[in-house]
Amino acid sequence: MNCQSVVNVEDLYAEGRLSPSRTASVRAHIKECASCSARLKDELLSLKGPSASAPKDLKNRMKALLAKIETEEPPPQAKPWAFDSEMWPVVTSIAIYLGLALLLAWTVPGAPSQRYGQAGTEAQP
Amino acid sequence: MTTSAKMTSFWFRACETTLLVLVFLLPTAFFLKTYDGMAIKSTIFEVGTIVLAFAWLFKGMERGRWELPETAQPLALPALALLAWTIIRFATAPRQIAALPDFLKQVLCLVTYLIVLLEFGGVQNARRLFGWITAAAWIAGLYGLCQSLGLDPLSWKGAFGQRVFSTLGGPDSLGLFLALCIPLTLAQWLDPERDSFLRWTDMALLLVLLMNIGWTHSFSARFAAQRVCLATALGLPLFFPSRNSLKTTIMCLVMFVIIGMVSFAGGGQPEFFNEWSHGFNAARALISQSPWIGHGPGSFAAAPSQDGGAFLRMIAELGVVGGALWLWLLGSLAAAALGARRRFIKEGALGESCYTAGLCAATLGLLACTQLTPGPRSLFPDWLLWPLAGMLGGLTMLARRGAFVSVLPLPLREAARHKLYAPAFAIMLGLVVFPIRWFDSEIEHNSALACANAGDWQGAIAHFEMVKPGAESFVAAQYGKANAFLALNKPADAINAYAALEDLSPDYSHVHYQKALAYAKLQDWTDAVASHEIESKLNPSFVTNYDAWSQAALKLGDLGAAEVAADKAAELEPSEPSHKAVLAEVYAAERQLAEARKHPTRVGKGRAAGTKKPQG
Ligand SMILES: [Zn+2]
Repeated sequence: MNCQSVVNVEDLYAEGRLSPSRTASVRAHIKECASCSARLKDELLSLKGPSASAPKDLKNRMKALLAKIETEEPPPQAKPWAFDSEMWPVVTSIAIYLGLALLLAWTVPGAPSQRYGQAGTEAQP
Repeated sequence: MTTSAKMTSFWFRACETTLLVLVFLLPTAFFLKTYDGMAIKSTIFEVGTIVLAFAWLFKGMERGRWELPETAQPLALPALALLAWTIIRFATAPRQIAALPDFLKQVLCLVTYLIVLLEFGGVQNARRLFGWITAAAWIAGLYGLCQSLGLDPLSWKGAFGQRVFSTLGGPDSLGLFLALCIPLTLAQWLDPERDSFLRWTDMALLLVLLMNIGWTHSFSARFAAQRVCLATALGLPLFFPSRNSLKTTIMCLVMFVIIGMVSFAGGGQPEFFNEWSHGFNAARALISQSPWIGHGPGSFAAAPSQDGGAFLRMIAELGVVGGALWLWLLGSLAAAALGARRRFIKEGALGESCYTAGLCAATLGLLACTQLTPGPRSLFPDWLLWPLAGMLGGLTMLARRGAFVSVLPLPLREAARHKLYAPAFAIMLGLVVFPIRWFDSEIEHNSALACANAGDWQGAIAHFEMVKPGAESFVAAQYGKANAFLALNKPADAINAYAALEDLSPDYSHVHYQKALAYAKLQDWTDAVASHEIESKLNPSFVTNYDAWSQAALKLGDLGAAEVAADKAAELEPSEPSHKAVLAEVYAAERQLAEARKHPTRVGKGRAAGTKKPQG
């Protein structure tokens, strides 16, 4: 692996999610490359962050909160897919396609389909 | 968000948009200036899958790596192996031009599966996929409703008589697609987060689906719907044990019974099962010629014969090796789905559970309907198997442990990676040009047939010559061109064109019969008889061939062969008077010969009458 390959996979490496064989090759590179080694050391430190322990009653507080949500609020209903704001690219693409298709149907020269014409038979000379 | 992260997200959205546009357009699009109004589906499929694949490649390029999560490996490896085997077999098989359209379909289907598997694992993706498929089902169903009421404004109105075919272009395909929408609609209905108004529309859609399946008057479609209902009745409660899923089971069983009663009252089962056994035997014969490695992908198109369902066809094309890889893929998917089922139920993942249930029932139903059912396969809905299977695999990955990711890094800096866009775009556009040119060829092919039907053979030849290699109708166009030469009374040109066709597809349609007619025009009776004989072996029930064969044999003076051929024609169609006329002619010639033998001085004259006298 070269330095750029290591740069491109280092987030996975830092999270410990890289496959064992790829991890081994990153490690082999770091051993020989001072700049990658220094950069990854910083990244690993920033990922760990200052150590802190969770409050002791966190579990109970979470349980109480969940129980409150379950009793008070109606179950959330997903927005109908058609009104999903992320759907506009699909709708736009289909609209563009339909426009193109109508344009094609009117402008492309060609005979009406010989399969479904008046004869209604499989037309082969 | 950095620019690179924004671009990565953009390419992911591009992948998703392309997939959803594909699942919506493939069932709804048609174009009535090509011979098969469904040719545009192939174009949309090819262009769409190329764009999908490139959007995925661009996403990896932007990120600097392509990922394969450890959880996806058991489902991706069999598909990659099958893809590799398909490509190897195509590269080593003869007659690639005729096989190319089918081969491309197989490759692009596997590419779709892999991308959907790797990119669209979430329940939100499943919701969107189901939403757009059922939206397409609404359009197909409502158009079917119009057709059943006789309100079709388009030129193909009544192409299948009273039978409804809608945007799928054929009653069987329409029935199969709508049957597949049954589990998808019910899975949506089960989704605990679904809007209550939309749940009512699901029930309405179910009614539209059922009515349309009835109106197809297609035994195979109704039979398919029954199998899908059974798969859904079993699948939904297995994956989503709840009171609602029991309701869906009851609904499915009721539908199963209703469709069964309509189906058996409607008839058509003897032809269906007859075709089934015929296709099964034909496929078995083909498999026995090359059991291990098959005849190559797309070879069915190069040597058309009846097939006994997609699975046998695949073994004929890819051999036992291909069949084993396919079963490996199917087995991995089934194992993954069953494994995920336990986790989802245990952890109360309701959304994941109901969509996995719907996907399992739909893929199971589709497999049951296509893999062992004979008949010409259509791109849609067969293609739907692959995104559905990919989505099923993606959903089951959520339930698997294993956080490792295998990566293929791109050893380039961001600026250098961005410089790759221009050439990569050029390659993509270069590839997209092919399906568009093939679509243009389909329009030319249809124009050629229009000319031929109007008797303008020169015009037909000009249009047939515009059909490009790789287009689905390319081989048919070569056949049409040769037939047009024959109609123009240019038998020598026709024979050359038939020979060129035989290089592409040795036993295409009635090529040997047509070639025999061309030889007959050249008075080359020996070759004519030989071609008729080959035709009779390939198409033993093609009656017209026996009549022409008998005539050619008469000219050659082979009275025995002439009698056998004429007898065969009369045996196949006992009520047809023209066969008896041919037989009478043969008997007359025999009598003449016998008389000539009795009076040896007139022998020469008798022989001459048997060989040279032109027939009426
Ligand atoms: Zn380095």
